[in-house]
Amino acid sequence: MTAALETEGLGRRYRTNWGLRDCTLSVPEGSITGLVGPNGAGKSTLLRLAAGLSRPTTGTVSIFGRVVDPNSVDHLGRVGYFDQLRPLYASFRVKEMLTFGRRLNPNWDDDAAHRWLEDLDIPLNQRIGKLSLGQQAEVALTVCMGKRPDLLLLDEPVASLDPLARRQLLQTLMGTVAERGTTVFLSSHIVSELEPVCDRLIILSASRVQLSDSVESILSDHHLLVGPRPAPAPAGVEVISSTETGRQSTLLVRGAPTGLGPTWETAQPDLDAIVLAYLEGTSIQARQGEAAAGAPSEGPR
Amino acid sequence: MIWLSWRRHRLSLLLIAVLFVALGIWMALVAHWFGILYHLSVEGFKLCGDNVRCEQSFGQRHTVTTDFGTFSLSRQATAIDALLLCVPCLLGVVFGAPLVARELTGHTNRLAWTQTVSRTRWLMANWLVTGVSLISLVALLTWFEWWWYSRVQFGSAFLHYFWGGVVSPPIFSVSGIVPVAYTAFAFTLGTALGAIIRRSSWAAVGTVVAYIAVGAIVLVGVRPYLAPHDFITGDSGIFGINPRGGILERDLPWTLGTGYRFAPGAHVDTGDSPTDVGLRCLARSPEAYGDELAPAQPYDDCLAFSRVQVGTLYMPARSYWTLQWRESAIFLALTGGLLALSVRSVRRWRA
Repeated sequence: MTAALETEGLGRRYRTNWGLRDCTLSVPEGSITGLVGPNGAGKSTLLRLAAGLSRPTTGTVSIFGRVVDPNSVDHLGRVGYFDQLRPLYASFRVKEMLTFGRRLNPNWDDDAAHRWLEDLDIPLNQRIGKLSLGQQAEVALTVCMGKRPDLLLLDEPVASLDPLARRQLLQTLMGTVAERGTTVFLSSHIVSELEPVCDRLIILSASRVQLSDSVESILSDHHLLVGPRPAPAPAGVEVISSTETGRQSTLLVRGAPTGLGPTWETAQPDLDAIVLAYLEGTSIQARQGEAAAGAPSEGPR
Repeated sequence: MIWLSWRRHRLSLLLIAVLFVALGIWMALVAHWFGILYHLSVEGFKLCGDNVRCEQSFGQRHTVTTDFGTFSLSRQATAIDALLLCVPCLLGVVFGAPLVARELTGHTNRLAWTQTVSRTRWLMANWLVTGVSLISLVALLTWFEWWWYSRVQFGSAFLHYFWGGVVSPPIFSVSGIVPVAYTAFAFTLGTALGAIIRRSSWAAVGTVVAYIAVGAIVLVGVRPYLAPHDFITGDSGIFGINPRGGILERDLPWTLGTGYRFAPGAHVDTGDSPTDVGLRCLARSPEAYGDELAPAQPYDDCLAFSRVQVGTLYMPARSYWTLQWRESAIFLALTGGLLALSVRSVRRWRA
């Protein structure tokens, strides 16, 4: 299986700060991959690099095996990009945004675009500036999907939406994606948003990839160990994070622990806890090790 | 793509067209009033007979009283001329500077540049749709201005005192084909600065500064050398240069300054006043003249002895179209360079 998106040592520096650093990852074709990480982890930078809106300082980023060229129509036609700022022309009417999509994209699916907006009860004659934030996000997503991309890059698609709008948007998205077999790479800083829709997860923190695997194996690979303190590190596992409270220590580990003493209890952590463990682990590392290198930054300059 | 750029800019283009129509109505009114005045003056001449004083008083009044008040027509005509001079720069500020910069500050470039259209095509479509619309509007305005000028010049000898003929800057720069070239240049200047600076406001300031600078350089350092000069010796006023007399006012030449040459037909040096040339003449060889120079007019005598001819340099009105074509070519070449710069800047843009 070829990778829809592949990066190799990818880095982007904004003046003195690295927005993303030494990022090597792969998003398999046909997957719905979630990109999770705290604010400032480099999620938006990574997505912009993949969309061709930014250019790498180091390394390469390829889409379907080809290095991204922001001036190539071929690249632009295969990728749908949803910016976290959801830029639309505020003075346009909704139907004019559809005309925009039709005129600028040869593969435009006009029927589907109209159908989605109809399903979402968005009036075609309304001006974009007068729509609610949720409706604007839906129109932006419609423009994105209407061009029938092979890879959808969605930067914080559901941020700042109410739970109902969030569910509606994800439903529209997932319905179409399943139909077409589109690869989706979407970012969020909230794991619970991603869990129901993603089959793969990439944890990005401190501008580096901490974990990249399918949700299934992430859940089966990680274990929560509770034991007496001080605890010697169990054999055969990688400790992701450890917290010590009173006389107890709690470890989140990767891999199957063997030869645990009777004093240990094991539990199955949920995805949220696993992600949090990774983020906590890196934030400690970041404080210790990377303080001198400068804090990573995210967002437009 | 054409649809998008038209949809994005149609409102402001329409607004500019309305403003142009308003300006045209004002110009027509001023021309109409000048026509009435001229008519009155002609009637006045008949009444005055050979009385010159009477002629002047008719020729210089230039005020018109309407229901709305009394206006000075000369002042209005001068204001219109000044406004016409500013039009290209104004369009560069209003349309050029925000063309790319507004997309960058509003982040809508992230939307436009991720559709199935290359950035080059996006920019070229925007530039062409807006640019061609502006150029058409300015061409119409310039055509109208030519008619207006021909009406106004009959009305007032006074204006010619300030404006001169068709090759003089106040008329030359707002007539013929140069306004179109200026517009293309100013608009592209704004586009390029907007793409490079990434802010409409600063790009607008830069457009004004650069446009004025380029305009001044061309006026002082380029235009006078785009066609051969006439060199008229003697202390001739501009009205006296035509041996046949009765020169048409629109054919008045553009006075470039005084010059001198050390023999008839020799190369003309420019830039010095007759007094400076006289001083230089004296400095060349003070002994040569001995006592022959009359103490009262040493300069003039020295000039006469050395066969130095002092005169005035003119750009003749017959060079009008040569100047128009050559200057337009210069501005179009600058436009091409700026367009290439804009394309480069847009292609290299990265978030």
